[in-house]
Amino acid sequence: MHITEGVLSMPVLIAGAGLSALGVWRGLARLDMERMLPTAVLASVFFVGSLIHVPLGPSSVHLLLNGLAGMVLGWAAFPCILVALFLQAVLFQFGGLLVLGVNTFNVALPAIACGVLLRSLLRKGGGRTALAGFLGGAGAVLGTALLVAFSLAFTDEGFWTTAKLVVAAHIPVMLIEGLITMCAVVFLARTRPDMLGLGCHPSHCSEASA
Amino acid sequence: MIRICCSILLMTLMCVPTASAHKLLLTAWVEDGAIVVETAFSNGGAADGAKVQIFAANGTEIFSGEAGADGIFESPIPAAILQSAPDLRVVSNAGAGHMIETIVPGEDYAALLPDEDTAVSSTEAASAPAEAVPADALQADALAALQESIRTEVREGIREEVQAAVRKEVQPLKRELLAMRDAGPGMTEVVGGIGYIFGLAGLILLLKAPGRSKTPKL
Repeated sequence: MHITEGVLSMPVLIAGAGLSALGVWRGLARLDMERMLPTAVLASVFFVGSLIHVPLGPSSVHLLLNGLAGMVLGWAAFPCILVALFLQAVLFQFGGLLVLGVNTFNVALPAIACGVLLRSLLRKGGGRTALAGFLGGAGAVLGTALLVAFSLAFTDEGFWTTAKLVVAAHIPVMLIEGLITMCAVVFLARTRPDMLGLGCHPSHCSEASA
Repeated sequence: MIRICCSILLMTLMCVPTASAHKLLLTAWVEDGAIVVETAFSNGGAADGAKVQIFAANGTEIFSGEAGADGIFESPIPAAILQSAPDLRVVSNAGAGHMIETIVPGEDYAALLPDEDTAVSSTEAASAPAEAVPADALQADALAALQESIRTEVREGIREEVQAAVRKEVQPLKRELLAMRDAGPGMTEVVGGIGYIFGLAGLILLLKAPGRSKTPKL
């Protein structure tokens, strides 16, 4: 999912950087004190997630875990993913500094879109919360694959060739991330619904009721 | 809350030792007047069908092609390029945003083959008259020519065999060297990165904290 340096043309790089800057600015405005710790944890999860490989025939693909960040953090996923991708570029040499903007946008936007679109489904409780979790995890990966293909559409590779290649390679990742996100979301909905924007903090709720 | 965060973090950390990096690796060298470019993913998979382009130092493309199923692209270098021996920039694109490049310095292959060829022919020239024992001028000539051709053939055969054997022996070493060079992120980078993230979060918390008096209360 990490586009490397030298593949994209300058206008695509600039557009990606500009859009990411807007997203990060909006995300930072929404990032309050209470969300700082979950943001840092999810940034760490995303940072390490790219090292977890799913063997797939002769090759393998790595996890992204952006859907969970989008569902828990909303717009704050932008600065969270920017920091994680920056550290991956610097420490792991995944991606690169010039393409950081494009990569951030490709990963963060689908995650946030899933978080926003699935909010109403998430609130319905029970099996629907689980379904929202699965769709969020899988949908964010699919969205990122499509955006990667879209970014590469302006190179000589073309949209459809890349889209087919990237989406096909990430079908197992979508399933795995769907399941991981589903478990995480169901767990959070039971223990800390406030983290998903579904109600109040359990300790505050008990204080209010007492 | 903290317990949840810590357990998630611990779970991800536990997965790390089995992981490996997923990026593109590239080695290129000149062999027998041909450039050999090997592209592989760092998880060991060959970059099947990667597009390889070779550029001269001034940026003009010299030639290009596609790697085979084993991720190896081999193509003879044009004689003009071999003689001028510029630094070659090798770019390999495995698709889906995976691209890598490396430089093959000119001095690595500069005049390698012409020298070798002249060396061989000069030894031939020197040894041929010494070994030839002419009884009759015509017969001697034919004998010398025959000896010469046999010698050349044997020498060629030995050279090819030695080259093949050396290549076979060196290949695993080359791979090992490549794997060592790109061993992927270790525990230091992973823990360091997580430390950076939490440090940054702490810094932002500190800066965003509601205004405190500059002098601590006693």
